[in-house]
Amino acid sequence: MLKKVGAVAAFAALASVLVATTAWGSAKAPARASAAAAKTIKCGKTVTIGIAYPATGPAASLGAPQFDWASYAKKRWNKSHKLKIKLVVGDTKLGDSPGLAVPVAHSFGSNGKMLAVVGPAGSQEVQDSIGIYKKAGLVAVSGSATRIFLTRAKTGNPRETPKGYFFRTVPNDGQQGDAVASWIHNKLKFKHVYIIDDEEAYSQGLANQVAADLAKFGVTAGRNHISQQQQDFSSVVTAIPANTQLVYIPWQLPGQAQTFYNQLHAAGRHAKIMGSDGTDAPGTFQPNGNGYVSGFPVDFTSSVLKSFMKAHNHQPETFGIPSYTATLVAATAISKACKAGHGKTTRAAVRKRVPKVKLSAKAGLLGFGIQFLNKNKATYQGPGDMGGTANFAIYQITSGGSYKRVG
Amino acid sequence: MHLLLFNIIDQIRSLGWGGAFELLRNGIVLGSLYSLIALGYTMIYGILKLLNFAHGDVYMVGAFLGFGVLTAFGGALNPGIGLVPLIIIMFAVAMLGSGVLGVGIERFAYRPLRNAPRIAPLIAALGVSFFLENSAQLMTNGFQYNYDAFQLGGKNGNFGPLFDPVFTVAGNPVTVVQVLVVGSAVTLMAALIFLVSRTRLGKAMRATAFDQEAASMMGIDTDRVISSTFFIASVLAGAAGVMYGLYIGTTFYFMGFLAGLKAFTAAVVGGIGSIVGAMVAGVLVGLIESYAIGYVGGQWSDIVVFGILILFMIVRPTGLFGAQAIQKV
Amino acid sequence: MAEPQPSPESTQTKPLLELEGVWKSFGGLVVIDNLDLAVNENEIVSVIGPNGAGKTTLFNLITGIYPPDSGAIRLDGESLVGLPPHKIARRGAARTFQTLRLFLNMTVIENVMASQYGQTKVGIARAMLRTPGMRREEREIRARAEEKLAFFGERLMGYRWDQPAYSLSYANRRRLEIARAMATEPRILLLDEPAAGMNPSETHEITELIGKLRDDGGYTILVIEHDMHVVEGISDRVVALDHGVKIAEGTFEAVATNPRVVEAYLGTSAAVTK
Ligand SMILES: Nc1ncnc2c1ncn2[C@@H]1O[C@H](COP(=O)(O)OP(=O)(O)OP(=O)(O)O)[C@@H](O)[C@H]1O
Ligand SMILES: [Mg+2]
Repeated sequence: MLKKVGAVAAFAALASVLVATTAWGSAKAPARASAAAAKTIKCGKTVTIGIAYPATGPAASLGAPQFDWASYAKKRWNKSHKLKIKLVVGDTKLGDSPGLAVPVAHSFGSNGKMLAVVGPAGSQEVQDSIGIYKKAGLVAVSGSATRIFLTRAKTGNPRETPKGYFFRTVPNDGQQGDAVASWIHNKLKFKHVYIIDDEEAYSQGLANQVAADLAKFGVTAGRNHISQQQQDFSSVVTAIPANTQLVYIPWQLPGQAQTFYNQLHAAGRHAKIMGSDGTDAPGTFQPNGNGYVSGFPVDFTSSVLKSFMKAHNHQPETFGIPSYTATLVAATAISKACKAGHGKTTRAAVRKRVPKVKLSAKAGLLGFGIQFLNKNKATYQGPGDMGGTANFAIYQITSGGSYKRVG
Repeated sequence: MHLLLFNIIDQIRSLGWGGAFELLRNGIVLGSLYSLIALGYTMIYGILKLLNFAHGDVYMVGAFLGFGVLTAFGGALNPGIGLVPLIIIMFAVAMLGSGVLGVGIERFAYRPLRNAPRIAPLIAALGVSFFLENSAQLMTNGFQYNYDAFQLGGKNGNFGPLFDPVFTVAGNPVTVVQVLVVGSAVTLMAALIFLVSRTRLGKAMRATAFDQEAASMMGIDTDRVISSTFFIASVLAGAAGVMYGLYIGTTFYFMGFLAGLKAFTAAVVGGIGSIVGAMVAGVLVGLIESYAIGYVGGQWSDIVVFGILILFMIVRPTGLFGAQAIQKV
Repeated sequence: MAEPQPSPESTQTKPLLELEGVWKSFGGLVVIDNLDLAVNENEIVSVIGPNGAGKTTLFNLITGIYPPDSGAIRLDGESLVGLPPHKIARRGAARTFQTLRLFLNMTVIENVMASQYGQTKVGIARAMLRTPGMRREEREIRARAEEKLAFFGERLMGYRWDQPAYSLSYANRRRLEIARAMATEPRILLLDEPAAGMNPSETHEITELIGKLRDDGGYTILVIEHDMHVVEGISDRVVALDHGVKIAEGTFEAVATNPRVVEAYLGTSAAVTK
């Protein structure tokens, strides 16, 4: 939708980048930055965490599972801890132009009780608003912003977020792209791949990553693009070469991916189809017997997950699980900081606690333990990313529609 | 630029005649839907000089109404009645429901502003659009709802008869649903042309469009004519919504936005106010979009469609079939 | 609805169109000033007066474009005040416009057919479902339109019927406006300067036509006209307005020589002399 309003959107984007850069630039003045960060905040009985996510707008269907899981984390936390947490909602309207990530950051910054933020959801939102969070001394822990360069500098460029202010509880696009590309090449041994992104930053990041990784293996993939508003894929299907073995669609909307699959097969094409964590939605994305997705290695036998599903229409809402983890990370950091400060703390103290938080695989639900890196690792990870075994798993979608882990 | 051109030629070659036909077919089917929606824009603009921004959302509501009927009869995988009566009921309910919605929108949002400055109903139209979109979003949680049209009438989850080929051209099938979409669109458009040109209501509509005050002094109940215009425009949009659901297989709350924008583009390119213009330009926009996706790449399709709109407006501001600004004496 | 019926006997006592103490002002400017006016069945009454006297405003008040500030307007004894224009038209008051307002996007005959809308039951379903009854009605409407156009003889001949209205000459546009008004099956025709812009022979023709409308068509006519030849030729009675006030009423001779009328015209232009 963004580009349809062409000039307006471009202008808005430019404006928000300008705002972000100037905000960040001025945030470098240490005195201003530390004022809000160093302000003493009483912990009391309940501490406040902001959650920045798309409650409305085109990406609302992605925001809903994040909010559900974050709320669930709050509920579970408050059951077993004396220091309760409270979530303050900021609707960023991701995908709308202009989105509201920046105004939300301002309002969180000026909320005198707020100690940490879960989110923002989109990588672009993080880039646009992190300067404001830094100025306010707030730490942002995102459960879905996966662009590599948020945490790892691109050659010749600075990192897109200041070190120590941004963390994520989701493996990044580099990790996911590597996992997907090596699966396609090493296990499936496919030579003819076609990649379609949905023109959102998330999708393009993954598509570029997988294309680059496949190129390293000597596989040239065809490329095409659709928009998140698009539902008629008949002409995109026409454009896919007949000998294509696999169509990779790292999209955000599983319903859209299923529609694409149906149209692909209605047109008599028999290529396999592979989605990403965005389409990891059993019950919605069901290319039965013909598909794969990359997704979190979630333990579906976990009692926590089961009771969540009971309360949410039997849907696991997998996409939101990292927001559950992110909420726990924020709550743990705050509670440690409060304890150390004897009932008082500062945003700076909370922020410095975050990289030290550790969660077990079982507690975090994601199938891997949470611990943050403090220096670069491998090709793609940097401080703010998770270390250890954190990565995506590959699932095959069986002809019965269930997801079976294969890698 | 050269590289892009090279890529396009390469793609045209690799898709061959079969691909060219497929793109033609896709463009005509999609364009039929744009035409139906564009007709609503053009009719309402013609009679009230109002850009009814909410029109795309009426189309969305039509798609959901069709989905509601489908669900009420047990869903695509397990419908309680035969395929043909089911589809007829889906169309009937969606068309009627959308028509009533259109009349309601006019009655409650636009009519009170009839004598207000021109900008007021325009803002009201935006408001209605947001209202419909956000209501639908709340009711659907922002999820896409699957018609499962592919399985409709099929056994054990296999593709149903809607996706059987009716005939093939150079090995490329044209399916039942594609024929259904184009066929019913053409039928509806023929009925509309008949209604506007031959019936008294049609004449009253044209009279009201040209000079509402004079028309009312000739005994024409212009409020009623305007209501009827909204009804007809919305019925067409509702029908397009169901067609979309059956053909594309899904509906979601935001689907009216872009479709509405493209249909509006078609209405303008066709010459806003011109019924034939909206029909022709709707198919044209569908074709341009289809070929742009197939040959140039999906990221270019909207740029091409809207770029053509801008170019066209510069070269021929009245549109393809725009009236040559008839002078009132 | 039936053809306009010749009047019952009662018209001698009760006028067809009746205005009583009508006021209208626009932002402080009084345009119609306590006007009384009566038009009897089968009468031709002319309204004269200098530019800006309020003549067209009078028609606008009768046809319901805007309501009077006070006063009564009755057609055949029933009040028209507050009714929307289309209901007033259906009650039997039809008009033409000083500044022609034809439906130029339609053909000649369609203009005349469109204004029969009020005479028929219209519904989308009825219009779309071509029942035999509907088709008959459709034919009748066309026949009635042709009948109205035939009133103008050679001028609006058959070959012109399916031409676009904008292709007509100025004089023919005036004629078509009258035909269109006739098609609403009115009891009273309100003609706003029907001879404006016409050459002498056309003016002569329209004078005859107005007489014929009354004699053969049975219409009651209230006409605004500047051309005194026309006024003299057609009027049973003449009413002179100035600044919204009725300054004279009576036969053409009486009004034309009335000093107040002469003064009103001399004050603006010396148009009253023939
Ligand atoms: N809608 C209106 N708003 C304000 N003033 C108006 C309106 N209609 C008419 N007038 C004023 O009322 C006065 C009478 O106008 P009207 O058109 O009735 O005159 P007329 O007698 O028909 O003149 P003419 O011979 O030029 O046609 C004029 O001064 C005109 O400016
Ligand atoms: Mg006048």
